[in-house]
Amino acid sequence: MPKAILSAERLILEYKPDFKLQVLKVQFEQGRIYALTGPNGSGKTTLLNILNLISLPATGRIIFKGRPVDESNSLAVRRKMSMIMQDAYLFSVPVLENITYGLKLRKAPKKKRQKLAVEALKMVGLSGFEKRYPSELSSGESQRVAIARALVLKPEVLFLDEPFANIDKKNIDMLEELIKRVSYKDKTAVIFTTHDIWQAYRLSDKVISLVSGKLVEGGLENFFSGNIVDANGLKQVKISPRISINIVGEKQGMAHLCIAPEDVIVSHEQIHSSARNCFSGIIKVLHLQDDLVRVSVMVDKGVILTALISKKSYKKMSLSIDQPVFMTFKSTCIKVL
Amino acid sequence: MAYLVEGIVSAFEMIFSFDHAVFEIALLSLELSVLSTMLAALFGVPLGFLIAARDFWGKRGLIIVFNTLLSMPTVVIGLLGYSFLSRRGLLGSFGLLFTPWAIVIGQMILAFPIITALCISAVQGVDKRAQKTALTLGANRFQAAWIILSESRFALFSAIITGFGRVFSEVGVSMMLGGNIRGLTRNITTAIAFETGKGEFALGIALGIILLFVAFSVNVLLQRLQHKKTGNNRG
Repeated sequence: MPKAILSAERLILEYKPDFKLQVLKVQFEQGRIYALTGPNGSGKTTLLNILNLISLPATGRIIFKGRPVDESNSLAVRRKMSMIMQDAYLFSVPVLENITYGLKLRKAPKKKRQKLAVEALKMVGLSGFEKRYPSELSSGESQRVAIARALVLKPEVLFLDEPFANIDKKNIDMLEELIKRVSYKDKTAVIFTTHDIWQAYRLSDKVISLVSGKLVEGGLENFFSGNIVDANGLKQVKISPRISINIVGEKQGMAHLCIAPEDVIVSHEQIHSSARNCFSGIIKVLHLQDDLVRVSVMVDKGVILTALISKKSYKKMSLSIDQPVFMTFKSTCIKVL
Repeated sequence: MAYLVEGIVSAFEMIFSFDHAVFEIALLSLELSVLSTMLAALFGVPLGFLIAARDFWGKRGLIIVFNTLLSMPTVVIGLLGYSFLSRRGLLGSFGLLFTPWAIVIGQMILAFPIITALCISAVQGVDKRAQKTALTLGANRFQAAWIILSESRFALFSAIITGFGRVFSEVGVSMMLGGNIRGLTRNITTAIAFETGKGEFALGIALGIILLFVAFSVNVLLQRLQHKKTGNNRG
């Protein structure tokens, strides 16, 4: 069973007057890949900075390999982790010195530093770039140097903040392969943020989402926002002119709704049951993934509901694009934030 | 104008024959300016870094003060220095007035705000991601601060060179605190003023040419530093 290498408990950080990051508990295991998704400003980078021990939370604690991180071991723990930022910054020295920087801080011998740096450059397809300055690199090449600089440290936990944002398709594939390789071969826990939900599911073992500073398991495929209104004693959130979602809970005013795709039922006929939400729509995307199929259905203009079903059900129902179906889910399975 | 042409010809003769008086004065000027610039940098660079890197009450006011001091006239520094170093002054007992040390102190006071103000600007100009990147790669707080200094090194050298250029060409401090004593405190600028007063143009012009040559070299170095392309490609 994989071991939890890094976890965080009861984290709270207020960094804007109207924004608070609150994480009750999150845990990362060795050799697994985690995708962190969420809208802009939801606190993804802030959470990575806290987990990477660069920012300090107001309350809560970080636990590394079962031991709480404090002043005495924070630097040693930080040196077992590494991070690749969205808009990577390279120091104004040649590429080789950029890559050996972290090894130098860890007091690795010069010969070993250079050997590892050359290998790391080869790994990201930039052999021969050792003597180049950052100003002589394209933004994609700079990002790959930053990747090599982080990977050369053989971190036990690797954070990547929007690593795919500035690179082309070919290099996205290369980076995805690299992430899989370090996770599998070096047993590194990889945590990356992305806006691409399909990539999150394709690449990671687990998808975690952040909404307004709070963690939600799963991706934000069925994520809607609106005002809670009272309709004949029932609470509803109107998310489009035609669609109002019935919810339960005490929350008032503005709310974010999350519906796990595995809680949504796809049917050819309308289901008459205790489920309070049933909408008709047209299948727009069918995404096959191992034994599962994600069925994305447009239930109103601009409103897509996704269900996760087994491949067996998909075959049995003979689902196809542009086919009309019904999407049903219970009010109690909706997470109201 | 014949006397001027005669003076220029004699000046070149003095330079190319390595005239002792010319090079003694030029060397003293260089020594004093380098020493005062180094001392000013020793205090100015760390102070500039601290002001730029830390947030504290009155920071903006302090930066305005340093920027104002950039245009402080050398005669005002000379006057202040004189009042402190003269026998009646607070530091009179040290007997520094009309010694090379008096010039060094005065020139240091002149270069200090220049180096500090330009250092503040240099450190503030460093990309905010530099420090964070160093931390993510395992730097401690000191090593991360060092990266900021390292990233601003060309701008810091420029600040120091600008300070040197200012003290090398000043005359007010040297005249008022050094007293233009031959072989002891007579530097290029005070010698030019003195020789011109005597009507001896040749020595004055020779020293002026050396002064301009040093100023030119300093500016060439500054230009090279300012155009050194080593930074990140943001395109």
